[in-house]
Amino acid sequence: MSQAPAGNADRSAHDPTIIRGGARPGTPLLSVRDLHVEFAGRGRVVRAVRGLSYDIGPGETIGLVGESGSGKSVSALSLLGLLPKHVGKVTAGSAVFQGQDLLHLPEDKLRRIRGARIAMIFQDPLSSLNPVLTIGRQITEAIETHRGVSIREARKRAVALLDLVGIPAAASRINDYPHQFSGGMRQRAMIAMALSCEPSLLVADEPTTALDVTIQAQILELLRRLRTELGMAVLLITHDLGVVAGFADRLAVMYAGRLVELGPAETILADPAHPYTIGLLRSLPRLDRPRQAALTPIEGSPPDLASSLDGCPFAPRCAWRVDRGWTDAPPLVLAGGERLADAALVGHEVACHNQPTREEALAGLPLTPGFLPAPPPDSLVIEEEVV
Amino acid sequence: MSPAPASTAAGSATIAPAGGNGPDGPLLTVKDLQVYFPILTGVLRRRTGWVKAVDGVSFHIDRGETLGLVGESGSGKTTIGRTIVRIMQPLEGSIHLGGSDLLALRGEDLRRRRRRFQMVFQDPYSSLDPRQTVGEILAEPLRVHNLASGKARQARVVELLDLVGLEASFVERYPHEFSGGQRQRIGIARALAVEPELIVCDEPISALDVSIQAQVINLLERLQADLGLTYLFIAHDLAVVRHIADRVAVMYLGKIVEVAPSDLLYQQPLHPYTVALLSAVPVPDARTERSRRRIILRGDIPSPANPPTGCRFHTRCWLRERLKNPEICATTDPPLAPIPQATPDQTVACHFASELNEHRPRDVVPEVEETPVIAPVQG
Ligand SMILES: Nc1ncnc2c1ncn2[C@@H]1O[C@H](COP(=O)(O)OP(=O)(O)OP(=O)(O)O)[C@@H](O)[C@H]1O
Ligand SMILES: Nc1ncnc2c1ncn2[C@@H]1O[C@H](COP(=O)(O)OP(=O)(O)OP(=O)(O)O)[C@@H](O)[C@H]1O
Ligand code: SF4
Ligand SMILES: [Mg+2]
Ligand SMILES: [Mg+2]
Repeated sequence: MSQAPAGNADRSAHDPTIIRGGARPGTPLLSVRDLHVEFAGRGRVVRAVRGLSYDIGPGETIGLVGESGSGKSVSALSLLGLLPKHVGKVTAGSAVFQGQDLLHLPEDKLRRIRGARIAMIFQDPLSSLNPVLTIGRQITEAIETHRGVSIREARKRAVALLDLVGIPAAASRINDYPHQFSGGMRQRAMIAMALSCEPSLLVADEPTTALDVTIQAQILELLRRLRTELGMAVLLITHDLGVVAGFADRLAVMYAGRLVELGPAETILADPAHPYTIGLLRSLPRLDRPRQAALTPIEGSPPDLASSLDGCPFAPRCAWRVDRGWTDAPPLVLAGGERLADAALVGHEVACHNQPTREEALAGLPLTPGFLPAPPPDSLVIEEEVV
Repeated sequence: MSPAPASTAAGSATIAPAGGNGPDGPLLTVKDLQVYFPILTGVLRRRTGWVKAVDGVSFHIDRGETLGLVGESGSGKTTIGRTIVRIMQPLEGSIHLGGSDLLALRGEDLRRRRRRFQMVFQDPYSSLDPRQTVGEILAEPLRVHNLASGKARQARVVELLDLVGLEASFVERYPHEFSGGQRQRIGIARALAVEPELIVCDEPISALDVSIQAQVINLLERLQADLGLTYLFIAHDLAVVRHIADRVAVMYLGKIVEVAPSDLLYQQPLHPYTVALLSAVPVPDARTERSRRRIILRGDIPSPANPPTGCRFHTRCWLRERLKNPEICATTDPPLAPIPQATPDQTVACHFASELNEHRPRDVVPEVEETPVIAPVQG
């Protein structure tokens, strides 16, 4: 990994040849640069994704985490051309996958990549399974479309896939309809369908959120095994930091349409550098820590994405904010100060004007004597401060 | 049983829990509760079976205590909550609140009693009427229960908003103008309006952002300390439940399989399902997660319409497997009872609970690690 000094890491945001945020050396499988997505409707423009850049190496797993509504799902859907028609659109950016820019590909070409080389699974399997077709038919259809094999061949493969994902008596269950499967079985059937063409990238949007923890453990175990067997890269979208801890190589933390922190999962969870990530980790009750007397929430609520948000989107809730935070959005650069040496080695990046020190991160507040969070400039009227 | 004292003066500045029936004994006692739903088939809608949603459940909650209720999806947690607040009718069993028999209440009596038990729902989006202002939402229970009128009612609405950390100016606004966390606060304020003793919280934070969940948990804890409330707290997040609950009951397929004080349940679970559940919870620490082992339960949860015979967990039980599948598990339903090796306040429904620790794999339940705490510098 090149040891780019802090100043250069910033420039790399727009240079597709530089691998960022600790990605594996070599050509990335997917390279997203400066992605912007907007929704228009009812006289409002919602800027859901506001300049997102990251890479996924071959076989690598990225965990995309962050506040609800921060743009995780929308950013993934936009890569696959699945934004709601006429409402949502990509307004800038590129997403190069195996040499092709997904964002500028004609619909038929994109359709061929989708399902074959990039597969997607969603939180709610019912929404992507057809209720009137048997599970087997839906899988064979996917295989036939993308592989051009005979029906008999496809059927054999479908049984093998259902077996692979742990559906008991697959040869007979293949004739069942989705409603005859339990939630966990449907999720497994959807994984079987997604994997039918051995994609090189799997986009999994909250694949276990609707499931019980015991079933979640089964599904994650399954995905882990399949990932290794197929050498597949995974973009895992989730709000559960526990899930990514054991599953993702790197984390990308989103807040209000932007990345606020990017780096190895282990580094970010143990040594978070952005005030939002720090706050998020502190607000969680954890089974691996002693019970606290009271939890430490992040006060306030996330911003309205229809507003312009010129400054740092986290400023209104941030204890470390400085004047500049109200007006300039901080770029994503290598974590600095005492973190710089490690950050340069592993590629730990953070978007913050006033990076908390490690000691401050542990304490959860700024420790500089006399430091006060910068009050909003007169031009900005903060409508409501939530208690 | 002494008659319930009259409610506190309408619009008074303090909110005291509505009077109870003597301070001793549990506030809520549930015995042998069975709630079944008919399975209706064909054009004639004939009943062809029952969904045994809750099948013989007993527990109690002391005054001012929080009982956490966790367990597999579909195990009957919500059904228990709804039966307690009398939205649903049980087939069998009894529910006593402060000494009085809730299930015997009818008509006007029930209507008047309803204010003593309230429910906070999971979904802050659908549980508030979108056409009512926040002021109207909070004034309604006060009107229905004749708790305050005119100016006093207005004052009480403002007081309720203040209690849950919302501003008085919000009374004119509609639910859609609020964030999820704010709506959940409004739902909590509405439940508090009638000065209940018991609040059933059904997944009150699951729909909220992680960063907002802690705000609502802290609020619930503060209200409990200030108002002496008693909670039945239903949730699937085991870390949240450990934080908020004094005792925890674990459900599987319509039955309680283990009840214990929080600390004990998490440190020394006695039921194989509880152990599997704890082993499945991921913690946000990459090193722990990578070195940790898990008990992966095989198969799916059986249907409550046709539960397994004997111990309901026997089709997926790892302990039974290690014991070479003893017959008794498949034939005899184990009672919920203490075991000699543990304290009497921990009860478990497993024939082999006393052998669990011998067979339990190591490193499956996350260990508690002390973190360094840095005292903030005085500034
Ligand atoms: N069809 C749509 N029309 C208008 N706005 C939309 C639409 N879909 C999403 N948005 C907006 O885009 C933003 C990002 O949404 P997105 O679904 O990506 O969030 P997310 O990070 O996946 O959140 P969650 O964790 O809740 O799934 C949100 O503010 C949302 O309101
Ligand atoms: N009104 C109803 N009619 C028929 N069956 C019902 C009804 N309500 C619940 N059930 C069934 O009763 C069982 C218990 O449901 P319940 O909602 O109490 O579970 P739960 O433990 O709250 O689950 P979750 O964690 O998913 O909320 C389930 O099998 C459910 O399908
Ligand atoms: S009674 Fe048998 S099947 Fe049931 S939990 Fe105990 S060991 Fe497992
Ligand atoms: Mg989403
Ligand atoms: Mg429920």
